[in-house]
Amino acid sequence: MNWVRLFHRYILRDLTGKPVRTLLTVAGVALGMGVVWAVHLSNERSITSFTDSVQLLNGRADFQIQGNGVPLDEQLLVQLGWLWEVASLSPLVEGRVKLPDGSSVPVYGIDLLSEAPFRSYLASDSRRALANVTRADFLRLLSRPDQLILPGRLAGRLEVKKGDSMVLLAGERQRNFQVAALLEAEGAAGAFGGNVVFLDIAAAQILLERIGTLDRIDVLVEEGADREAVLRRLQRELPEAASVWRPEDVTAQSRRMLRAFRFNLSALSYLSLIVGVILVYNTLNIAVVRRQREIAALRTLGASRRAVIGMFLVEAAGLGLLGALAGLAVGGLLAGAAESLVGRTVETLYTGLDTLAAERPFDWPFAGFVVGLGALLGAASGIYPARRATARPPVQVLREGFLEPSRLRRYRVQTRLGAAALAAAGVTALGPPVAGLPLWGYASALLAMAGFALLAPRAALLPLDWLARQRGRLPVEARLALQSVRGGLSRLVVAIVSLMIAVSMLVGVASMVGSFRETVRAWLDQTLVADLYVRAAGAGANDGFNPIRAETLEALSRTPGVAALGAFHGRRIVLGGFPVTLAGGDFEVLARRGRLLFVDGRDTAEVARALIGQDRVVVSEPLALRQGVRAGDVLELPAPRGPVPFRVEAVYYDYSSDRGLIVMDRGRYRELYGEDGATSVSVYLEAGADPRRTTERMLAGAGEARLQIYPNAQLRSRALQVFDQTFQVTYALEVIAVIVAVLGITNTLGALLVERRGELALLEFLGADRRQLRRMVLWESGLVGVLGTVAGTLLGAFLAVLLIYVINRQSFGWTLQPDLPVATLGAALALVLLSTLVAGLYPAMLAASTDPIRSLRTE
Amino acid sequence: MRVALCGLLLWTLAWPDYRAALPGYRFEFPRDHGSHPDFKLEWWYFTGNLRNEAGRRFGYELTFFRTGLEDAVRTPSRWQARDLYPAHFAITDPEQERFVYYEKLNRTSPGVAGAAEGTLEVWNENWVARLEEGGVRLRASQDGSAVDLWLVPEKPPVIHGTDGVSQKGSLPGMASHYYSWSRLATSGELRLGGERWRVEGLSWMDHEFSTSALEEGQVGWDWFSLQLEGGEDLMLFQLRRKGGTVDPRSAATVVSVSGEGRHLSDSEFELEPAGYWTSPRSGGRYPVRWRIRIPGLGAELEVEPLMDDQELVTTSSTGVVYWEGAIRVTGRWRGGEAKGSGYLEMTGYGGERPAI
Amino acid sequence: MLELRGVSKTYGLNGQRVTAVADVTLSVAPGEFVALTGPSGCGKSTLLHLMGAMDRADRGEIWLADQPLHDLGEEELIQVRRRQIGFVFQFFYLLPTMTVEENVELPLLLAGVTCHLERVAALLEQVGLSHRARAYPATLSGGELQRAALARALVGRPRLIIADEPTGNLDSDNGGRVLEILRGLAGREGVAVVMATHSAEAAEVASRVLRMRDGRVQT
Repeated sequence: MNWVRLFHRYILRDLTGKPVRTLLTVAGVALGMGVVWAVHLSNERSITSFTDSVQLLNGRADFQIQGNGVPLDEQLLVQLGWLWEVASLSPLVEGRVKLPDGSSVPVYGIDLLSEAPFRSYLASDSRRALANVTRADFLRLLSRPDQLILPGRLAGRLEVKKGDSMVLLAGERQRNFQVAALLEAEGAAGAFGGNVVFLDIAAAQILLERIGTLDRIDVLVEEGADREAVLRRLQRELPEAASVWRPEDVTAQSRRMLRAFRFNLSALSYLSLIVGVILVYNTLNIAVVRRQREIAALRTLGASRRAVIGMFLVEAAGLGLLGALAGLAVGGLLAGAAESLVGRTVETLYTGLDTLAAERPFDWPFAGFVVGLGALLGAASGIYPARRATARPPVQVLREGFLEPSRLRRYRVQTRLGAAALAAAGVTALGPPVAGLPLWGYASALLAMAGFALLAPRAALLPLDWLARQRGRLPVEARLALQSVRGGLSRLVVAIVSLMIAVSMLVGVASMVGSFRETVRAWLDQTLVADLYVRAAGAGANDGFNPIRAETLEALSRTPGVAALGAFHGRRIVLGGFPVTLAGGDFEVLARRGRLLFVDGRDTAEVARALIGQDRVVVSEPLALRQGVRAGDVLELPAPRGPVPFRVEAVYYDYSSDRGLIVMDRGRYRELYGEDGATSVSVYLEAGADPRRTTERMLAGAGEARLQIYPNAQLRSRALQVFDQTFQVTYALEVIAVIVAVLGITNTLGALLVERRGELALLEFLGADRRQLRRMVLWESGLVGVLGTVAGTLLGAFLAVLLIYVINRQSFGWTLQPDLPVATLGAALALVLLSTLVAGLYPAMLAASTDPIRSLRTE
Repeated sequence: MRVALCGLLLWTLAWPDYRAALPGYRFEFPRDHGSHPDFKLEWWYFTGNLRNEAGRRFGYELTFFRTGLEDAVRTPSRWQARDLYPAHFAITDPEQERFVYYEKLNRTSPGVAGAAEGTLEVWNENWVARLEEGGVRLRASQDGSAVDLWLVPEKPPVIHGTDGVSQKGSLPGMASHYYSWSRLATSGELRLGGERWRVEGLSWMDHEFSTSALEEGQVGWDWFSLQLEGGEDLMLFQLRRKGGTVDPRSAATVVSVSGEGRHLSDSEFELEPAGYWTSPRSGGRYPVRWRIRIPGLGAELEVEPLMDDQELVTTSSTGVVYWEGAIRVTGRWRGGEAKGSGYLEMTGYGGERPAI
Repeated sequence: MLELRGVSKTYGLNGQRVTAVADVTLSVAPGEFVALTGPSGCGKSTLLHLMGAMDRADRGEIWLADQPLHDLGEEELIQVRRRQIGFVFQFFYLLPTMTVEENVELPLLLAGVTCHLERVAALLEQVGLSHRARAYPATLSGGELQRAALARALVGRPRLIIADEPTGNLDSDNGGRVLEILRGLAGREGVAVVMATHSAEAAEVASRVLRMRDGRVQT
């Protein structure tokens, strides 16, 4: 009880008595925690909602029979007659369609009659889910190919009602549909945030041109039947082209696909938390130093050392806790912005789906984790200050005049530790990926940060000492500032370190992104050489469904002005547990006109010619790196009549997707898969042909086919635009880290000034005017800013190397050519410096407004 | 007169796309065992009374329906639904007072459901009825309940009604083409609740196809199939109208030992409820016991169910609530003692539920 | 040189008005060493602050070398402090982050004076601290600290030294040495020194002793 009272009188009153500082600390932690929470939320909403959606659509099936990139013959159901004895079956056709508003959504062709046991919209509560579906509507869905079902939310967005007609664009064809039913956003209809269209399987076969084939057969084994036996028999009896999966394998694939992205985003958010935690440490550190004498007095009055440490730890934990709670609110706001950014990134990089974020219930466990983490990190950051505050015998403390012994410390032990940490950072940077994640890379980043933080005070002395020798050339305010920074380095170093870390993240990430962008730009310049690019109008991003038909290709190639067509068809398969794209490309055209960049530097024409008519493929770099595939290796590629071995001829650079691409000659592809359409076409024009006129002619010649035709430049700028969108989240994270660090500077300087108010008063006694005091404080914050920024830039350079050569390569499999975005970085750093000066404004005001007589008297 | 389907169809009278059942139809077998897709509505009904070696009695019902959809569009997709195929399967175990039933609803689609034209072959997932050399193979199983039976006709098919039609309503076309295999010697295996028995007995098969059978004002019917130990069989139905009156289109067929059918009109027999059972599920009050009088044949029959609760609530296929169960027959027949078994179907007593 | 006429200063403290200095009239001539004694809370410090241009009187006039301190603006007061007044405190108040030399130099820097290194060296010589010029305050003894503080007070060639209990934290040896320097200043260089003190010994060294009680100077 007494300790509670003491805590209240001693700690709480102090906190509430210094509201600005308390607020700044809490705000810093809140921002750091807010970022973690926001990234978690947006991860959840856009990434997890994708995997959840996959799960929702998998439904309750025990197994899925799939063709692995090859459609299943619907007659397979006849062969599977035995399965009815022990299981229910539900066939599906899947695809993508473009809606009237231009968004691309998944479309599921389901057997409305066999769905009930599998997915919940038609289950026992079906009458509620399909509330406004009359028997006539239902029968019409079955008997007519132009009926569709929409989740109500999507219908609301599209402003269509039940009974309205709407157009769906699939591939190059569009068809008219009537909205037969609206669904509650429950179960499968809640997948992808309700952005999904359901058709009866017959309508889907027609719309998606999948007559006679199925994409999937879901199997639900009867209660009491032997699941494993069913699985074994399926594995034994299924034809070569079909394979059976457990739903968890399927979700695991999509998880695996998104894991690296998700991990890296979270890792970055935790790094910005570090900056916030340093802030708590800082506040505590300052508080205990300031209150050393009081602490000593308390102890002479009978408080044990442990009790004093305990009180400060509770204070620290409390600050962390408050910060975390506020962080939940801040994060909720940030999440709104982060979500759409993350969602767009996931869409462009991975899913190719315009999935509006799904509404998710408040994540209590993770909120609990955030709050707990806040308290824990707060308490942890308080340990050292609290122990130090009570380390010296109280009598000794009480005898001294000014507070801190101001011998200039040389930080020997710290410096040695720092050097060791840096060495360790160097070693860990060489570590291999762990389960596909760059864990060692991040360990190295943390070690480097720790190393730099430990080295910071000693390193800061170098320029400070040098400056001190130049004192004759500096204005007095600068000299005063310099002296106080040098003397107070042990305290200021925390602010310097937090700024350093924030700046280092900014520099590191900006350098990585800049290099990435430059690499992509150069790659686009070199490989995007056709004049025009054609896709089916109904194709979404990264989407191999519904190709341009062969007859349309025919028509395109006959267009006057067209010299050559490079048709390309890709399908999604699973290879080595990863989703990859298997494609057929026109290597004849590539050899003559196109260009790929091969890792081993070989000539495009040479490699392309080696592939024509052969069982050989080229693979993209991300696939090669992730699955350890090298030129000369043999890949077993799934085909309708069983796997076919293909030799890897070469690995080529590709930055379009980290999914991984395997490309074979189109002729071989056509033989194996019977596919003569194209998901994308590069068009080479005859010399002198006008791209715009040729485009018009192509569109006119394509008849009913709806095509998108991009001129080279437009595709290129679109690609870079997508790239830039992709990294907006990362930038946002870094900016927040810098804001936290700047708050830290304000906080530290403000606190130090309060502590040094005696000094300031003295300066006034000695003839200083207020302008001088203000300038002095601004110089101090400028010095701190410069030190932090310079150190941050150095650390950032190391992080950039890590990000480019280790983290990015191990996570996504891309080789980046380092390229410093000098202008961007320069501007960013200038902005950081400016904001550190702004950070000094409040303390400067504080300095100029103290009452010297009182200040000196209370000393 | 198998009914359950009316849930899907009751409100319609005329279907421009389909043929009406008109007098003068000439049956031909095995062609007419097969599907008649130009009629809107069709069913194959198998019911039977079986015994195991120890004399323990069982009843079974296995029914395949086909109903053509309105405005069905022809497309290249084999999933485009032109017909729906509901199916019901039930087993009665009077000794343990068990009655289980299952239902399916599918469309014509590869490997899932369908019916052949030209011969008897109708299936719904793994429920199958198929005419093979010398008999009919009947198979169905679900959740541990199964029949795997071999049915051998002891009489040729008997055509009900007159001039090839069984009239159900006042207008021409409100009728069906309807025949029965009234006596099929049955043997095979029956499973229930994890147990299996070798069983033998008699089955009855009805095959009926029409486009519009019922008329407004008809609320339900009571239908009997009776197999007497003397070798004669009897089919009777009465159509009930709103207000409790009996429709004059009620009729019966007496099948002789050699298989000739004799049509009886509603004035030639009398049906009278003799005992009721109320369903705890649907609340329907079914007259599960009956007295049948056919003065012209000296028949005075008592019908009672092997067990009371043989009600089907078919929410997820036809949406109809009906009672269809195994019965035993006693009383007098042509002056002598009557003994036999059969099936009774009663509709229009319980609340109907919408389909799907 | 320093003249106070009817000076009063009142503070509001916890709703009560406390008169710290009440109608004080006195003058200090150049070269005079005045000791101000009296019990704690009698108004010594307030009077010193008023004389040192750190505070303003509510009533009365304060003249320092013909400048009306009571009439000057904030900027002008600062200029007065810079050029004409030196302060010495009981707790020395050397800035811990600066060497002795730098501490002494500080007032000159603040006043914007250049070319002052010789002046600093000479003063350190004078107070006997040449050998500690580059030392940090934390390594100095109390006497050394106060001598360094004295040097700092003198560096701007002030006409008036305000010393608030300069020996209060020193043993008698060191205290004596500090008093010696102060007296020397007054005697040799014509600097006026006003020193608040509790110590009778210290008061003895002064050329004149003023006693204060309840804000009034007793004569």
